[in-house]
Amino acid sequence: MTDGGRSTGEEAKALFFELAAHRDPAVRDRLVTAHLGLAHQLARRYANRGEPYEDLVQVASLAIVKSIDRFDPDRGVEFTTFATRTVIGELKRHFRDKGWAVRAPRRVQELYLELGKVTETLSQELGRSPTVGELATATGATEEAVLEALEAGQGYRTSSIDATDRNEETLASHIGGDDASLDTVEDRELLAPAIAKLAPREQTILQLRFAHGLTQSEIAARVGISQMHVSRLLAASLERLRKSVTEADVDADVEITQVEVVEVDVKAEGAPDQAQADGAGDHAKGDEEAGSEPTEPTEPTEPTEPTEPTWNGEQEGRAAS
Amino acid sequence: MVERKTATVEVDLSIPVQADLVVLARLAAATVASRAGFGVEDIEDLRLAVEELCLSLVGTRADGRLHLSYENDGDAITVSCWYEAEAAVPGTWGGEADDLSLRILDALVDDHGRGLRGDGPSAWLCKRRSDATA
Repeated sequence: MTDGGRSTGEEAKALFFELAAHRDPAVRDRLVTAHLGLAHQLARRYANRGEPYEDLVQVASLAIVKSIDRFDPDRGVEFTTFATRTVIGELKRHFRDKGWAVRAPRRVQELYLELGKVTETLSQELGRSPTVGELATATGATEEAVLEALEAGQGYRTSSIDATDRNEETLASHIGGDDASLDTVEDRELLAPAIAKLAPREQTILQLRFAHGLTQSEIAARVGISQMHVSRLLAASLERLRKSVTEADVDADVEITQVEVVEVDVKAEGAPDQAQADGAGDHAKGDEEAGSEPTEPTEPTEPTEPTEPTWNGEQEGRAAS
Repeated sequence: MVERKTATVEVDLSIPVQADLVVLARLAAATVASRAGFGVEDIEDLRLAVEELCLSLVGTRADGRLHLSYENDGDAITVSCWYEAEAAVPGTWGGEADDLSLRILDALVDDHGRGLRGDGPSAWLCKRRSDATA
């Protein structure tokens, strides 16, 4: 379906074959860097739904790494198609875990929260995704109510985190603590011990940067050190994480590249507000072949909050009403 | 065992191009898929795909109507959508799908395509049940 960039697509394919044959980290890094643009594009597409854009970029970038590791070039599927599916799946899961901005009557919120658990349980029991009818039976709700709740789960406003399900558990209890975004890192388990070994200030800086999305300058002001010092501490922290992970496990490559992925964000923030001047809405046109340019790393171009004058953007406006 | 409802069902929907009404397009898709016994993962994919289909047709336009047709034959759902602008804009088709839309649809559904219907753009997608035998 995507027909542009035939030659670069072939080049990417060659790199994937090389990666499959030799598992060369350098090749892997090239592929990751080359496809980060796709992560940004997809994150932008699903922005304006109550989750910070940078969190979505992080989730999408991780999914790109995961896709590269799992991609089998022998299967004849375009990598971008394979990766897009993985990224969307991860974004859906992220939204689901975060409550996907439920803004609905209380009974719908309660049912939505319950559906999340029941879906997980039934999926394990059945070995497949449950049907709406099965969910209705399991929850005692009607199929219509289940559909309504699932649709509400695709709302575009942040829900009250105090909404409780039938077990009186709040959405907040599912979300976790202050470091909600950092959970996407820690949940990978491999990085958690390494992060814990960092000095408290370095942990704070990492959290402010990657969990709260602050710029280096904002972090500097908050912590009381210079922006350059923040930059150095971030680089040092990431390097230590990289070494820890390298020593920990072969699979650590995933996390290592994640660190590199977010570091790209750090570098990109030197151009303030460039997204506003970057033709928001003309999405995908500027970097439409980001997914197939392996030899020229694609610098993520829009690290700041996007605006998209499409239905997504209008939905954001609706959400504010 | 998933209950299969094999009788072909056709549903037509026509909505003004308004952001808050795209929910109807998604809900109709979800309802038709639910009646066909699709799993919630498939339904979620279909929802996103239908939204993407609508988005790709109207772009930034906020006038006219979107017409959607849902056809379910038990194991697959085909959604056809076409955009009828209030006033044609000379030289502007209005339905040029960007590459990302195509990629997203590639990822979410089994097949999709685009074309023209009357003066306006049209597009369709087909989503098969994950557990359906080929």
